[in-house]
Amino acid sequence: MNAPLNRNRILWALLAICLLLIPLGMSNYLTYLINLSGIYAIAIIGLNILMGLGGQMFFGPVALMAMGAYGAASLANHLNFPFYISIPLSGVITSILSLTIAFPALRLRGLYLAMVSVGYHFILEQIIGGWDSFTGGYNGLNLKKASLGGIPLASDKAFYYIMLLAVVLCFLGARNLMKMRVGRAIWALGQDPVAASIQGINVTSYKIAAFMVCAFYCGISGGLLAHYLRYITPYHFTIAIAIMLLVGMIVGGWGSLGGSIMGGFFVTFLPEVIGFFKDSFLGASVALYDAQETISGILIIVVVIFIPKGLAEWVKGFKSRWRYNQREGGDRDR
Amino acid sequence: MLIQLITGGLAIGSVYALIALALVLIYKGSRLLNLAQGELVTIAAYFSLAILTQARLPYLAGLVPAVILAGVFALIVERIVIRPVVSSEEWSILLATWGVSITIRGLIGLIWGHEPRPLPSPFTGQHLHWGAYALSAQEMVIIVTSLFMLLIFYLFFKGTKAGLAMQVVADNQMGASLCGISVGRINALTWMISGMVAAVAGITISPIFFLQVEMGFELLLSAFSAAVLGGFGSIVGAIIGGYLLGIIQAVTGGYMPEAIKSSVPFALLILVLVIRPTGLFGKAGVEKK
Repeated sequence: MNAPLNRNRILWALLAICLLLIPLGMSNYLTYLINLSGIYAIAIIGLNILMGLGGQMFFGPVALMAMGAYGAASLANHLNFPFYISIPLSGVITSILSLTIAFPALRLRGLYLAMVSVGYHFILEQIIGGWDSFTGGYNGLNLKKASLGGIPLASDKAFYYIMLLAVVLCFLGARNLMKMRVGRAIWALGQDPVAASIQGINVTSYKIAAFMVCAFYCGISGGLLAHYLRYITPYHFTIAIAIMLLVGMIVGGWGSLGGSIMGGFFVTFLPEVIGFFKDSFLGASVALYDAQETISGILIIVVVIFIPKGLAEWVKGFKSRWRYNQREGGDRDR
Repeated sequence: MLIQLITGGLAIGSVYALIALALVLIYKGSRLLNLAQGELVTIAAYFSLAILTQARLPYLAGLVPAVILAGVFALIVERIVIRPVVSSEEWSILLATWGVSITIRGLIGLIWGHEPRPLPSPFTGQHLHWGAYALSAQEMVIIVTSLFMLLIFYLFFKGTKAGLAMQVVADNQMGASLCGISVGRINALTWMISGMVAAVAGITISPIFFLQVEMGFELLLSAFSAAVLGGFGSIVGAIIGGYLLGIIQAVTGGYMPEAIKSSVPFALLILVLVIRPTGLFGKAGVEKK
């Protein structure tokens, strides 16, 4: 009985060592991509709690990320907060500000919420672009370098460890949340609001809670992005990125946390991989951006038709077939 | 001033009305929101650009083959992408239509590039003088063409067997298939008609706004707001909502800063959904799922 547990522990330890050593052997650009993937993965985890678990069709995660990013930037610039305070605080600020969409959302379902959240995103984008004195408008906003005890953390590799810590904390937090009363209530709400209210779940307050949790994650993701790029503009928070996060969530797996992280890597690396192979397959004259759009569009269609449950379930399918003779029992890690 | 604003609003409103009609048709037929509708508009406009510049047809004669081409294109999209996923969950269909939309955008970028292009029209810059007012001729063309399209659509919908079958499928899919109507075929027809209706919108608006890869998404959002304003799921509502939104947008744009103009559809959308989610013409029991 002890043997599989020990093996699991060894695997976890190996994984941890690998994660800690990863940046040593990587180029700066690859580390940059990994950092971005991690930052997006955090937002996708939040989106997954709201959409995958709570069943709310929300298209505005990037509006929340923008709130977190500008919040963190102003905390760092005006109040001189260090990054390890301004990033969590930006999550809190964002989850309070998210009430502005959570309350209208109480009356909306399905596609209606989806479209209203698109509108919410655009209105916020206009506010950020127009509010020059606070956000710097389309000229952008600069941030000071993040530092820890006087040592600046400017390099991609130094930031990797901040990102890693944040992703691990967010992942564990979300995993525990899903097993707590709040998480289960949000899940019940996503399955069937009427049945949930019969079970004694206060639909209104848990719907708001789902939005606030999602906003907390998106805010942290935005705060990390602001501190990492040290220069933010409205162009970092467009609707295209919101859709990208959505694609990441669905490709990774509806309601799956591991899938969220896979999704973050998928959406960050897909354009790079397409760009890498473009010249040899399509020729250098083909515009990179258009090739990326076309191929990712086709890939989305292929995933929806052939892997409707997402990558996480797909991988799990392989794993369970492989494990079939070694261990019995259902999928207990759900 | 006000008269010009209102005719301008009616012109852009007819475009919204046509696209909203296309959205509602597909929604009623198969209970899905087509996020690629805007790109169907864009590609129809590029088809017409290709036809007008390659075949050197006159503007109004070039319109017809472009519309037919757009209808066939929508039919192909339905067959390849939508039919395999039509019975799966809401979000996965939504994502599939989004995939279509990105693919079309990428293809347009690959073929025609990203610079804004004018669609040549003999009516651009021409004005009709009516009393003291000078009205833009292209706007009149938009209004008349879309009214004509709506008339054709009305005759088809009310007067033909296929139109009747479409209404039956929209009302009750199970019942329709029990009556011997092929639901799959009717859905394909719905897609084709939506593609053609949206194509008219795209081709007539392009001489005013330049042709751009991104034009479709913005039109889609406005058209969705229009459809919600009229009560999503109601065909008459979608058309009237389109005209109303166009006029409201034009008039607010004329008297308020330009930046507010593009937020009008969303502000209206949020207002309608929060105050009266069934819209102007929606039935009280309309399914909000």
